[in-house]
Amino acid sequence: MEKFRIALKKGEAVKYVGHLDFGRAIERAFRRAKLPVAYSVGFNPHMRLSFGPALGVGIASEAEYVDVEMSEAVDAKQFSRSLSEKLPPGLVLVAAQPVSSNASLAAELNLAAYQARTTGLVGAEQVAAAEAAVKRLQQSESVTYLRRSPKGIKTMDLKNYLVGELETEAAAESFAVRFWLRMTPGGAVKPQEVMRALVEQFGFPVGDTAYCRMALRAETNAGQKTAFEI
Amino acid sequence: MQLNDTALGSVAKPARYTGGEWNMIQKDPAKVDVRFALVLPDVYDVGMSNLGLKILYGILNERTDTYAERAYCPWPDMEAVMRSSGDLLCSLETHTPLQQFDAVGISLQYEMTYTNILTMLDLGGIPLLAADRSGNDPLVIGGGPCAFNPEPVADFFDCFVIGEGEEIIGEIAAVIAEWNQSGRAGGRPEVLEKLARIQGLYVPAFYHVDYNADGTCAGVKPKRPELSSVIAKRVVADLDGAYFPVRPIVPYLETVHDRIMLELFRGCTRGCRFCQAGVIYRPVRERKPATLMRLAQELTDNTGYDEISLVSLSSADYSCLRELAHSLLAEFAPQRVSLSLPSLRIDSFSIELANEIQKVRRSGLTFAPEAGTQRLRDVINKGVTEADLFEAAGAAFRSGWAGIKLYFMIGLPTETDEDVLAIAELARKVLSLSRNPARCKVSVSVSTFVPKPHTPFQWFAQIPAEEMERRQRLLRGALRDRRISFNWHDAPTSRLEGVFARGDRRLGKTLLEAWRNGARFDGWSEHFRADIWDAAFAASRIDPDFYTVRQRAAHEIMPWTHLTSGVSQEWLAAEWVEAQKGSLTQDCRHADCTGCGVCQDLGVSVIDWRA
Ligand code: SF4
Repeated sequence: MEKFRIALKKGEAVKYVGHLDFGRAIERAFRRAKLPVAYSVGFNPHMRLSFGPALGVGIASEAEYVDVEMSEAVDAKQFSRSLSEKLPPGLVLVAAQPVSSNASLAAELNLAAYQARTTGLVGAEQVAAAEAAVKRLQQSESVTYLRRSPKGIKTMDLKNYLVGELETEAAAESFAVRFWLRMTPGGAVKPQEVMRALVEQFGFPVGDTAYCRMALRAETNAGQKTAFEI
Repeated sequence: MQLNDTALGSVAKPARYTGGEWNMIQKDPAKVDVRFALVLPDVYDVGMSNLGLKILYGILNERTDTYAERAYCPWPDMEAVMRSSGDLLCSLETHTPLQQFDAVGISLQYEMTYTNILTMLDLGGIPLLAADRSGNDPLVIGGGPCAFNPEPVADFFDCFVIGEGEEIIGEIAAVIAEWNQSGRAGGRPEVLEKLARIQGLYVPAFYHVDYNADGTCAGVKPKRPELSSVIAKRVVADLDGAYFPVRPIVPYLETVHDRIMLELFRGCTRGCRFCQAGVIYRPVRERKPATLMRLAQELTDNTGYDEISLVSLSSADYSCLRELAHSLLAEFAPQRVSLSLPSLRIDSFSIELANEIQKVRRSGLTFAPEAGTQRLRDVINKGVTEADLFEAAGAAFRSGWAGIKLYFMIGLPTETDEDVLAIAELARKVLSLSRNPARCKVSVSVSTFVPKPHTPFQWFAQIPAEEMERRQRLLRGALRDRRISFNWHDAPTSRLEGVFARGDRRLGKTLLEAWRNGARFDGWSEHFRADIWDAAFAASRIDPDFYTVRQRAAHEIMPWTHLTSGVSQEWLAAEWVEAQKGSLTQDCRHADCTGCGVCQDLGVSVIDWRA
């Protein structure tokens, strides 16, 4: 059966929509688009959609991926046009390609690039403090982070999840930090936790921070692949 | 002014506050003459489920001179964040603070949302008291079922719409548009004066309330001779031709009614004597099956929902229900859209229909016998017998439904312990009808009867809170069976609802006092604070018992006597007498007119396509 893999942008306006609600919104968009999506069989049939790794509530995204199985062949251009028209404001179709691979997006995509853009920093001093905090975190051997939840406290080393160098960019109104995080079967770190560590342990100045997932990749022994390559 | 990420990141379900849903209307506010904020004073998940506001949102936004936006009540976590950050409550569409709108239309669905109105006005930057508003403050307009006795909240509103909004809302928008174009000549008094000339519109400040020495109402009189002394509700004569929104907003968050709501008809003339909706929405007016088929297709195409709920006060009474259900199934099953029937009648027709339309029997069926004995069911004019219930329940079990939910009320007029205990007996008998009682579930939900204005029971003394609790205990004791679950309403909440339902203008002080001391979301048991309310009654020198447990004299002037649903007080009084005799009144939908008066008084008629 034909399958499309689509890439979507989740904009600022809808970043507080959770993963399940996002899934339902995509389903409804397909229904409005009247595209021949395949359904599961059984008592309670549902659309054959599969999603990439869940995005945290409050994080925008440049790259959300969904696989959708079709019940009949559809022209790729027509597919994109029909779906784009019926997506709610804030969700934008970036790409749609027929794929033949059976790889699971959620299982294979294990690296995520995030951007944390902080506004409300005042003066060169605060910007310098932000730069210094990022540099010190980068240089630390390990960064212990205590995750508090109703289930208790979990101790994690953020360095086990951070991949490569953190980058910074100071603009007139804001200060951005960009970094890659690894998702493992044993768990993952939220970008908010990296920023909290920067504030609490390294003196990053407090501001209002907006998050965005910039990219997802699949890392294997053979190197990194994009969602359309797996 | 969008809330910032720190604020949104710190509350539960932040998508309640961000809008941007499919079918949300976007317009340039600079290019319209009138800006409306439509408000349901409850949390987004509840507020977005209200059909009335979906209709008004659609009608107002069809006008090129008007932009209607939405706002719901921030949950207490968000209110705390907004109070510390100083953010004003804004609309979801353009993030405009409520204080900048021309009009704020508030839907009054339930007395226990009254404190939320104050929260929203206050967070929106609008003076709480209508008397304190001036120049650029919005006109605060109430509507919905509770507007049939708006006196307890009269101090906070500039005006109320009595009855159905489809037609009057445009008339209101036109008056405001004209007033704005004139540079708001004459200020607020001028626009209120003009609004008061619209039929069905009530400006409480133009009416004076007198009280007798014993505290009862002596009359509500217009302050000026040109105002009418009785305001009759608005009613849409031709529902089939009336506007129905086919592009409702599709929320991201799961809301209480997260599906297509297809309104089959309005009104219900079964005549249950406790029911306010059965009076204020009279007479019955149906939409044609062909109209409903067309609406259903447009709604499906425009929303992407996969379920259509056939809503009405008593959907199974729709005259062409079988034909409609069959046509809908034939048309929509291939489109993978399912049907649901929220209210079932207690008869085998309803079960057959439920079997046909609900292939997947995940949830149980719900029946509302309302009372445990035939005697009491006759008092309330619920034309249902035990045999009807057993027949329906038996048919349901035989066709594979595993659960049955039964709705009852306690505290109905003339109720004795025998009636209360009969509820348990009835539940047990229903359970025993199952072929496999070990695996089936019966759940019993018991609410406490709250006498409502404009009903035959408006004179009745509500039972005291302690008595409510005693009867609940009595029933719980009689219901000890693992296969029967039992839910009931908190007595203090029912008592407070009773105060406001039949209250008068003096309660405005109490409401304000309780809100100032932290009363919020009173309908949610986790937020309800009886201590705050007790203190507020004491501080405002008001005895809640005056409104609840006091039997009204037949000739007493009610605080809402100047507002009429078209159903005459004489008819209600006669029904009260019939109730005490336990004698039944028939449904005028298929039998003769029983003389409630609405058709003659308002020039409308029952529209039932079978009749
Ligand atoms: S006036 Fe007569 S026909 Fe009309 S709703 Fe009342 S009882 Fe029914």
